[in-house]
Amino acid sequence: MKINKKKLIELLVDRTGMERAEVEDQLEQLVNRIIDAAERGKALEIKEFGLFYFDEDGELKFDPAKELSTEINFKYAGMEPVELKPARDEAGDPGQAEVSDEPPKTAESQKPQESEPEIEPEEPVETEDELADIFGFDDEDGDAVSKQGEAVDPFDIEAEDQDKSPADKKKLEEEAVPAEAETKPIEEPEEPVEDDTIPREDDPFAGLLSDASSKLTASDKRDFAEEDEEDDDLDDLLFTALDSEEKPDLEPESQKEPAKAGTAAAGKADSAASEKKPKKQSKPAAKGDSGPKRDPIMVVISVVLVFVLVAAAFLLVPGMFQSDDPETPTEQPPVTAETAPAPHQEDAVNVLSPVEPEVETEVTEDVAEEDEIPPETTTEQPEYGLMGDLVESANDGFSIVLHSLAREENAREQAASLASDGYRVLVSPRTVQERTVWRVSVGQFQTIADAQEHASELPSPYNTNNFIQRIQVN
Amino acid sequence: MKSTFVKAFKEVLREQILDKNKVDVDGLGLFEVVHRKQHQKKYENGRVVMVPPADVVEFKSKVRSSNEN
Repeated sequence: MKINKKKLIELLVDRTGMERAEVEDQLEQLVNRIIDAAERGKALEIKEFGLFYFDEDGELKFDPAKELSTEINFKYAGMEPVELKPARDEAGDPGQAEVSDEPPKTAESQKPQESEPEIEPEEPVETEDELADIFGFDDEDGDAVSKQGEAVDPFDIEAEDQDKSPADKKKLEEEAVPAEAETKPIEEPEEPVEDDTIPREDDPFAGLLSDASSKLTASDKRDFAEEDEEDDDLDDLLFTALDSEEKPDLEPESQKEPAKAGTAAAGKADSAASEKKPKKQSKPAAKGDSGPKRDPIMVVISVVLVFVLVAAAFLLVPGMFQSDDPETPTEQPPVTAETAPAPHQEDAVNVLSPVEPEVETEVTEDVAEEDEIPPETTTEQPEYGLMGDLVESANDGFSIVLHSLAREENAREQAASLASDGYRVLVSPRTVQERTVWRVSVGQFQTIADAQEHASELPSPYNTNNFIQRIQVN
Repeated sequence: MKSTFVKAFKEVLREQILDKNKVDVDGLGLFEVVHRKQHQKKYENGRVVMVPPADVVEFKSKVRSSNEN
């Protein structure tokens, strides 16, 4: 369908509630402003929409904003170019020219990006007065259009260079996530430790670990006062293990947890836990290094000592884990949500998967999401997020659509199921190809990148069978 | 120009474009969504990249800069 001027003005009248004449006037002003700015050799940006400018051929160009591009391209979100064949010459300059094979459309769509930098150098020439002239004086209630690089209107102007792509943000955030997953191994069941008694006689690095050593010997001396020499040997063994441990990332985690508790007992458990771990991992190295040249009594005592330490560690470890709050809440939802997908393929209702989202988008203004919003929202929970109750103020963001159903009652049913799993659930009708579908979406996210990140963490099949939409509440 | 109008303009255009409608703004140009197929891109240095499919906004305008000579 083509939206001509008449239809566009009707839509704008509906949206703004202004008089038709006023809308026409405003539209003309906006177009004039865009052309005017472009004539001055500047790029005029409408935030979250795009950038208008004249290219080197004097042709008016439009670069869609990242938000718009992402929304339009949601169907292929996350698909990256794949290198099939590397460059022949490694030292070749990065400004490699394309040769062939490309559809004309691609070439065209890339053109604006290449020409963009040509506009920027011209900008500094403009004076403050000229800028004021462009944005400014005719506004009673704020101007919404700006020159590139000038953050004038806090409402919807954005300097282009302030943009950071959602993908970039996502990358940064992703780096922080995996660390959490590392804490688990502490719970591993203990392994037989009989072989661990094989020591290393001289460890040049023992001194470096003196604090751990002092803890061990202090506790040992209480029980095995006469075994000083043996303790030293044992310490050597432990320290060797510490030194030889290639990835110490588990250990810092285990030490961090008890440190939070801040009690003396926790501190002890800390040392015990840290000693236990290296011991296990030192097994192969120690075995290779030295044969069974120890006195059997010492061996027995070492084994007993190790058992005592392991037992002490295990008594304290459960307590440490209970205080580890991020562990439980993050783990629970996937487990419960796993059961949800079953009703997902029910009767004749068509579940529109992201595979066919040509039908997507928020066309209608008759969105009824407000029905779903409970009147009271918890003040404790964050404004944006996947779980919890809906937050009305977060309705300016994005949500992950999991179901798109033809019948409202089915949508409500799915929503109730998801809500019982603790998700923030929205149900909204959308008109897609002239028929109404009921979309069930979860979460309220400030950016598309956030939404995508959480979408990938949803339980199967939602993690692959979803798409992002902007929340619309009118 | 009112900010409410610009906001509404932006929203209406975005919605219509997302719904695969072509939007003709008088004096500016035509906005539409086009599908770009998956294709291979070859570089002079022998590098070959598979570019994934995408839906992109295309803007066609007959407006020319009057400064052009």
